[in-house]
Amino acid sequence: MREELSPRGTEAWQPKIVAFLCHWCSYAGADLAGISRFQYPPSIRVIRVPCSGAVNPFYIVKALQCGADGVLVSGCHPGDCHYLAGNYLARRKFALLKGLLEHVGIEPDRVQFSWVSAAEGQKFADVVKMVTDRVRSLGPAEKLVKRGRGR
Amino acid sequence: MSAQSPSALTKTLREFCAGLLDEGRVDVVVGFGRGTLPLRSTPVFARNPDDASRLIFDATCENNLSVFVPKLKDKRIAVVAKGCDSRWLNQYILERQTEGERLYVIGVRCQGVIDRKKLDAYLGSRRLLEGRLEEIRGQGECGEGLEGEGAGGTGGVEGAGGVKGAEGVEGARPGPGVSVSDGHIKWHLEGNDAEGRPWAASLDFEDLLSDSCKVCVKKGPVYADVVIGENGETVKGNGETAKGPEREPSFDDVKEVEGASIEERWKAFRSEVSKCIRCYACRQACPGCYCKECFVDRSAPRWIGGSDDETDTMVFHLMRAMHLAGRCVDCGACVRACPMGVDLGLLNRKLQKDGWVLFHHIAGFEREGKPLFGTFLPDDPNDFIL
Repeated sequence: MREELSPRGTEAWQPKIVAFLCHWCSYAGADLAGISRFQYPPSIRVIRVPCSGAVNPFYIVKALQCGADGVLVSGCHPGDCHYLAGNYLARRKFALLKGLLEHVGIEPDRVQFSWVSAAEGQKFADVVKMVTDRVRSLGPAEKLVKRGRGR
Repeated sequence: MSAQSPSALTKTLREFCAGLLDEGRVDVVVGFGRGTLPLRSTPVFARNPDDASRLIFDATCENNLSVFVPKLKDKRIAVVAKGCDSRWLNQYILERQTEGERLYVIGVRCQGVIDRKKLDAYLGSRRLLEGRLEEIRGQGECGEGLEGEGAGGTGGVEGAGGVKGAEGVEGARPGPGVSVSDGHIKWHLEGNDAEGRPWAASLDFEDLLSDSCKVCVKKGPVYADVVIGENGETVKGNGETAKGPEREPSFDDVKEVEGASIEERWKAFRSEVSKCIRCYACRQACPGCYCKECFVDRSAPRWIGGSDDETDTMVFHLMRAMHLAGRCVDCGACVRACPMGVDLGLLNRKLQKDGWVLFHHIAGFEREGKPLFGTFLPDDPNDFIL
């Protein structure tokens, strides 16, 4: 990205947020947000995954290590999983991961989870806004960022 | 080391295991043997009745022996199991890493094991030439210790007016041959100092006790085919010897960290992890780390960088803990195995606490069903999700 246009620590700074979106719900929700021309900050980098249950907690930690200012994982609402239970299983993993990261001193707002269905374009835009605002208020990630990875 | 006669528990253990091997009921007995250094034990694999004479059990038996179960190709394995060992044996069955029929669990009651690093810290530059547990009776009167001549674990009940062991201990008299009530068991240490002058000391049992043993929720085996008591009595296990933890797990150390600010926690985590040299001794000691290829060894994708960057070590510790979430039984084997004194338990115990608080889950008490992450409830906590 063009760092010179949004230098760190300025008003214009846009955090980089890695968004793992489930193919069946949240990715389609993001698509709907786009089609509907709902505005949301250009802070997310979307990675499409088959299911929120397919998001290894390692992906999240690794994203942080590679310099992401925040991570968003979004999947289908409970009960709506294309694979029946993937999001339920994910929820348990995420509950423990979020607690663990907070326990070692990583700001809890950097890692966020949401349920966004394919019909919730507006909610997707709202979630991205909310996550971006929270990460922006924390400032650029410094903890857990590998040397040379943060920007 | 001087010749020591075995405790009653050890004697029965040897006889029993020799019998098992003699009858051909198991192919191998995995147990503890006396180590070459004072107060150290070593795993012993007894494949014939004669080998069984090498077995011991006392508070120096710190390894979690269940770690060998997936590695042993023998058909039928008997394992000398403390509470935490037996919990991991259950976990193996739950995770379908072994069949229950393959295992013969020889349960022993454990009152906690020694933390070698605490001993090393106490010794400093002095050399330890001999160490043993001693039972102190009455008004500081010295009784026969665990390894004392001829008396063994029953020593405590002989001698005039020396009956002890009932106070402060619930249920069966537990432990490594000697009953423990605060201040009644001492470590007796002898050795030379740096100048070669002899010294001797007596330390409280608690002083060298592994931290994880202080918060142990299950000292006896969860599941055992037979339980050998400290006085050498054998009790046929009826399969299940306990349905759940003996007491509510306490997480005071975790709560202490949770009381700190986010920056303080980060500072503490960073300083703890900075000790790590990534030798992976914790992984080798842990029964939960049985993956054919560990994530730290994978090159495609390369999960953990090989650099000296501190974040690589941090990521290793975070993910090691996550891999053990809902599985770790807090046996403390990783902490005791760590040569650098990293408190790995801090992360493991945080996950145990969350597992307990959020899902009322505690690992190692079930042989059937699903692991924590293999199942769910529709009304699991959802409030952290946007």
